[in-house]
Amino acid sequence: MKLKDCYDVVVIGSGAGGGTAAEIFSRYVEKGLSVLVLEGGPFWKKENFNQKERDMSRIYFNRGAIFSKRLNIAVAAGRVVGGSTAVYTGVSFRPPEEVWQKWKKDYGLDFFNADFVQDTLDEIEEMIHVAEPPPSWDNDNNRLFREGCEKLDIPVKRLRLNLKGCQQQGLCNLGCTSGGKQGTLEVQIPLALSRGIELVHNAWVDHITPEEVVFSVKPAWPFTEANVLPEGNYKVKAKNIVLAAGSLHTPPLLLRSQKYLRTSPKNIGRYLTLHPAFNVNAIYPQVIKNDRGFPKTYYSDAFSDSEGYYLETSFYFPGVTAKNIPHMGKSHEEMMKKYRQMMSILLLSHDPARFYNRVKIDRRGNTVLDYRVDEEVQNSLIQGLRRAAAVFLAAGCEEMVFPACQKEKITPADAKNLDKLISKRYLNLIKTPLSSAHPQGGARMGADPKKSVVSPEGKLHNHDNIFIADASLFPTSVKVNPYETVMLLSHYVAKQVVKRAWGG
Amino acid sequence: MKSEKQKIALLSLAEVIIPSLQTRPMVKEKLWENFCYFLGDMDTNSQKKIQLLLFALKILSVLRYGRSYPKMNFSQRERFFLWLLHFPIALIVAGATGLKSLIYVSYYSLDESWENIDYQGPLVQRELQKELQRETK
Repeated sequence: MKLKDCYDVVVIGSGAGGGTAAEIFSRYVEKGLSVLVLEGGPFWKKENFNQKERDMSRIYFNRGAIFSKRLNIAVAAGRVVGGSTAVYTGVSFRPPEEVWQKWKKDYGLDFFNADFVQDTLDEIEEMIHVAEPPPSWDNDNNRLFREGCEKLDIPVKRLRLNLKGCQQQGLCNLGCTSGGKQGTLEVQIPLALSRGIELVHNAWVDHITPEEVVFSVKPAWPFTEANVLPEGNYKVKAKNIVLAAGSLHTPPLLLRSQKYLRTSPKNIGRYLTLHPAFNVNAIYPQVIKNDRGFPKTYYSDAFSDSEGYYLETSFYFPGVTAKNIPHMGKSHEEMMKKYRQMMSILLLSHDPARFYNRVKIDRRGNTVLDYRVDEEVQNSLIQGLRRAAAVFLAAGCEEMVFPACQKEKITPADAKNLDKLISKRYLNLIKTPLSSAHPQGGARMGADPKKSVVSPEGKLHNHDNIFIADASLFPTSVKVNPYETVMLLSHYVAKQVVKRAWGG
Repeated sequence: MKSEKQKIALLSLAEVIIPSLQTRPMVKEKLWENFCYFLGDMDTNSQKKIQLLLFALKILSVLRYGRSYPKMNFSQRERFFLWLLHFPIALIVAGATGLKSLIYVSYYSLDESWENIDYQGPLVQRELQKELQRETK
């Protein structure tokens, strides 16, 4: 591959944001628009996925755990062509109306209206095959979640997923070997490539200026596609730059580029939200079939408004499951021996956007996550843990090991004491850190430049040709799994870029 | 991480976290390989922190028990690690927790651990095996 001297558009990132933008731009390639996508991770195709944690956790930054400075939360983010859409479960939520109405009212995002959301997402969902999974995909984990909730009169809902030709392999978080997961790795990027965009993988962007993008090509790993450019440092001129490296990497890239930019650094990286989560496990007397079917088919939003969290079904590979179980030693080993009798619930809490929660850079320009779990979120987590424990018990579990719990194991005899046993006084996030897979914010979109980083057109304030098209735009947490909202915003921003580059 | 001393320190800790390792020297070797493989792919900061923690373990064990951690018997090591998990300095607790997590991930991603938990391995691998069996027949 030979780089052009100058591109009409350079997109940084190929996940939900970058992949969606790239697909939109590719519609104009035939008419002469030149587009380059730079992805920091490898091009790892499904044929080379092997579902082994040892090999496949490389598909994440830092093996799936970017720890916060306070070590209270570990964030998972994809490092591969397709970004986090290569490793997510495909859970597809449209942004709740109350959220986008707030974004419109409080942050001046006037382009949000019911028609825009519906029309754009109808188009996106059709492309990536969003639908409810058939009941035959429910494995025991999902069935028990539903049964437990129903016994407690907790309403459950069916999740929508973006899948095509899913082989129901039971576990999804290390990439889909069948390509059933219709993320940007399978849909938008191949489509955009077929229309003539250029993609350089293993291309780590160091900084940008308003005119150029400076990056280096890193070595390709075994079992991934060979590099299209020799290893080394590169500069490429760009008439328009679209940053879509995600909340953990777009703000640091802006900060590394600060001396070339006219945007105030005050708000860059701020108002980060993470959807802090606990994944909890319980043991049942019988073998539970989790290695077939789909790991997530139900959720409950019954406590979203009142207590601030969602409950979703989930199930993970043994290494991550072991890490999520508190304690250690013999009791932990005994619990793991019952891996086949284990059911999991994911507790996903809504965290408010706080100025002090931020992503910044260290002296070498590396990402530093500075995140406090405030009282409101801690209370929400405790309520959610109690609720999850009740669901497990209602579904017939025989024991469970929980964070923030007074006892090492909770059994059915403890059913009436859950409020006492699971309490904030036992919550120690240093010993049982939270996890996150939904980083959002950090380059807030808003009409007021004093309170935001990006204009409602998606442009970096004080710049006409630098755009952002990823989750870092979110003014607040979207409260649900965010990829559809990322695609929605990216779709919108990409159209603004086309207007600028192509006069509409 | 390549030193023999670091290996001994890490594996003596791993035995406390996963007690069945005491009778499985071959699996311990594989765990060490896997641990190094995982750690080698993590950022420089994480690598430094883990190495620093292993060093701190040694110092703290000498200060508290008068001998280095790998030279203690199993129950002393267990008590020592639990003490670390309740240490008054949050950074030590967080480091010990992080190390524990990395040991669990390194161990349970080994094929050799799966038999103990009745996990049959990745489905794609099972399908390949079935295919090979069919071809052999």
